[in-house]
Amino acid sequence: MGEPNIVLTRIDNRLVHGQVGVVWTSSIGANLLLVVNDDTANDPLQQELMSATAESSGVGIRFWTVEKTINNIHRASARQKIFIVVRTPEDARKLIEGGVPLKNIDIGNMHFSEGKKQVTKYTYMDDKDISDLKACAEKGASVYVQEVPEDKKQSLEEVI
Amino acid sequence: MKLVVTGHGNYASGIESTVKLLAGGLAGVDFIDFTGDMDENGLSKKFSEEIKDDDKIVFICDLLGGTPFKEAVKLSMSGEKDISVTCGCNVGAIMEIGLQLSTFNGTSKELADKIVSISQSQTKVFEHKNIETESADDGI
Repeated sequence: MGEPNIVLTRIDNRLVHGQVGVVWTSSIGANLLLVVNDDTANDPLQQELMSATAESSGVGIRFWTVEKTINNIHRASARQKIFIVVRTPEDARKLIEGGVPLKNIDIGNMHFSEGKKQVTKYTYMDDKDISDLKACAEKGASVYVQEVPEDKKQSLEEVI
Repeated sequence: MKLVVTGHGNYASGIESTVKLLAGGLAGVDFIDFTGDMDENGLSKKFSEEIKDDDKIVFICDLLGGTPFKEAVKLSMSGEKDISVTCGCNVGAIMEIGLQLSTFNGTSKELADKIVSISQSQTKVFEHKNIETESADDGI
């Protein structure tokens, strides 16, 4: 089987919510949401809540761990236009280093927590986040900040 | 095709702020408040002004039988344009239709029917069920 068709990867602390489920999914024409997050992969309630959004948007949804994604992504069919959502830059980096071909990485919501500095209106990062994102870019991914599809993309170099 | 969201008080601008947060805005969707300092003629004038360059319009009103609804219906009866009027629709439907607006080629009635049916399908009580998310035979 050929390379999986991963249309977009988004880093979003809230994973799948209204903005991601409805707006992003339809604007990029994805038909499968792949939530890659080790906690969510073992949390039925989170899965049920995110499935509600996917169901109303008429797209499929999967909840996989990072490891399962690395081991199984290549089974994807060509008709599957995949939208990957991860919570952290670290998980995006692990996917890329595990051979998952992420070409476009959109940085969405990254909330404030202790030790993180504001980078753009909706993104707060620490040194680890920045080095993970740089590592993704070095592997050839286009890494940028874009909150909603209407916004202009701001490249990683531009914001850090 | 143009969508006009309208209602009493700040209904329209409230929905506008929701849409802005979610999608950053929707082209071809307008929001008109009917506030306490306006009368029905003023509202009707605003409607006419807003749709003067469009041939096909769907009004999305807050309340069946309210003034925004009644003024929109009156305008639709004038016969010059293809206008349909809905009421009671929700943000989910406005978002979904608004994002596809530029590629829609049908009549205002067809679009209005679609908005109402999406609103109905998104009006529900959350019920627990076991989700099946494992793959089909083909793909992941």
